[in-house]
Amino acid sequence: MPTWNRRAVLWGSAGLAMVGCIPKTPVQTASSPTSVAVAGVLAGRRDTVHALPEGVWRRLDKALTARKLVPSVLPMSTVRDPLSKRRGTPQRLDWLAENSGGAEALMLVELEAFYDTQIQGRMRWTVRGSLSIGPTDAPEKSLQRPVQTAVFLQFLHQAEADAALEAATTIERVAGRLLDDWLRART
Amino acid sequence: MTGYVRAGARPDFQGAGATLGYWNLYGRLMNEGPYAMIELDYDIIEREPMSREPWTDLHFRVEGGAISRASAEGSLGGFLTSQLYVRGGNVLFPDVTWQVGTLDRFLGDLGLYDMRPAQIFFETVGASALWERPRFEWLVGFGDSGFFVNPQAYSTILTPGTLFRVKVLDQLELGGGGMYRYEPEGQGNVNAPHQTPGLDYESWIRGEAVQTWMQQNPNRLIDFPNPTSTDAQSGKLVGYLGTGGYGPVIWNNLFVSWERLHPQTTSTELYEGSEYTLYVHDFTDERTVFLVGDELQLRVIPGRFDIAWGGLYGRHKDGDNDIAPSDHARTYMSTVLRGQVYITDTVHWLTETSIAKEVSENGNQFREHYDSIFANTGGMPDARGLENGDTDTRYTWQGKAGVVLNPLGKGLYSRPSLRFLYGAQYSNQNNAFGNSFVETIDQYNAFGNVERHWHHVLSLETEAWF
Repeated sequence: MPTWNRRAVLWGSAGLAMVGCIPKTPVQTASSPTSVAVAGVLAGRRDTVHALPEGVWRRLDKALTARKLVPSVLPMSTVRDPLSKRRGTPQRLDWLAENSGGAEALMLVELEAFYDTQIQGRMRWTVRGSLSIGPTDAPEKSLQRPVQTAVFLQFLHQAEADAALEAATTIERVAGRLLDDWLRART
Repeated sequence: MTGYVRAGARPDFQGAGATLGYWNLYGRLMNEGPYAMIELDYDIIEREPMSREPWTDLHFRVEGGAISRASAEGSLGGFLTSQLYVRGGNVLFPDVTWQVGTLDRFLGDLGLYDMRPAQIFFETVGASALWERPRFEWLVGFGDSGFFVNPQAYSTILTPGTLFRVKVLDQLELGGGGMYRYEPEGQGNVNAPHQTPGLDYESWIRGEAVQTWMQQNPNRLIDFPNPTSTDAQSGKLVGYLGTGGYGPVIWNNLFVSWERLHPQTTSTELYEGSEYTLYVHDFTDERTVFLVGDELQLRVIPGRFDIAWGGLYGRHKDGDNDIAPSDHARTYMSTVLRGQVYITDTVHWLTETSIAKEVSENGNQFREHYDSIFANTGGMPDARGLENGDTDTRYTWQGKAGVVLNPLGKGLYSRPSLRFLYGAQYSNQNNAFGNSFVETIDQYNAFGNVERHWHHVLSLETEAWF
């Protein structure tokens, strides 16, 4: 059986330490801090929309603030009824523009999650929807990016919110690309 | 489309098979071979959010382990059409999903072992209805398991079953259910359950039942007994307790199952150049399997270190057999502990260890030494004995460690995973892993024998659901 020596341990430690130095792609940023009214909803089998999980909000916040966009999130109590009644993205954007509280831009995150099937010990869910961002004074000019991904949950008791949380990395990346595209076009 | 893959290279320092040990009792990691599964999931009518409109979809699954370069075979013939079903939801009743086709369903998974004790209808094709409410679900199904149990000798096996799950609290759920298999008596049907009378069990175990009968009934070949028909029954009960979502406990799954295996229909023996088909219902109708499995997932240092800890106990009994070691007469238990340190979001360090004990209920089954073919109970050779080797107990320890790349971020079960692992195993059994080593100790054995209890394997592998 091979024995470990000091040199092997040092090389191994150096190799692991280097993974922290992997270069990251720079993001587009706003020329000055820009306020963004953000609404996010998750739909599924229930009759009304419900809140995005905290972990998804954290990722969205990270994507926005990294680009000098200052989010102000509309509380669920405010958006539940109007966004349950308005199910089309244009209608929802119009409502958000009217209730943006003076923000310069608006961002709408619409997600749906559905259980698909059991596969190899996991529960497959589909998370789909779209992310939109645009100027508050012209919501019809909003830029959109769709999101659709499969996630594989471990437990039967997990539901829509867990599926959305499992898709948080994908949602953050879609949000990042959407915001970069929007900011790039503004400069 | 959805699916699952696992594949990779397993350089083996001993030049043996590409797994660290015999099976996933020691943890599935490095003890399973390559596997691929593809499922076509076609939404004929897509589900609408916040709606109780009817929806329907079709699922068609193909799976197998024949991956060229990662296993001995790469032929598509190594793949199986394992699932085909159509579902329709919100038809007739709201919140009810009808399913026709294959019916496989489970209440959860022991991820460390890749086992699903609380699973029913795995072998069944038929129809089911699943009623789902936010805190409750109830499945009722009925079908036929005949083609899976005896693929080449179909006989109807009627299979009703049920499964339920209740969310008592957000942190506690209970589940349970069962299935019953009934294969009716079928006079005149060669595939239906029968028993050939007048056979001796020990002779049958040795593969000498026909020879024994002929010796006891000389010159009466024409009187060799005809099989008598009977029916066959089997079934399975499952239970589930899930709890978690408090403190460091992510979730804990406890599963229990008891199954009476379906009796075997036939076996064959050669005697003086002729092949005899023996009907063996009565020799195989008392086989049971009791399983208890638990898996606990803990968030020890949030965002930095998680562990999964599993345990498994199995008891296989065979009321017909108290003379020969067999997979149907054994007890086993093991525990597996996996820890994962998150160096960065996507680069993790995995460590896993396991210990296991397997006991043969009917005498020696394992070889501790390469020359143990000469040993038996009491260390005495017994050429006509039914035992194998020189011990009835196998102990196994495994340790695995290495770097894992998880592009989707943190989590013990975040996938896809690209793993670079080293694994070691120690067993009291000689060469306790799949291998092609020469076992004979014949004086003309040109390759020699080895005594080896350690096994070392590297693994460059990937696993993904998609």
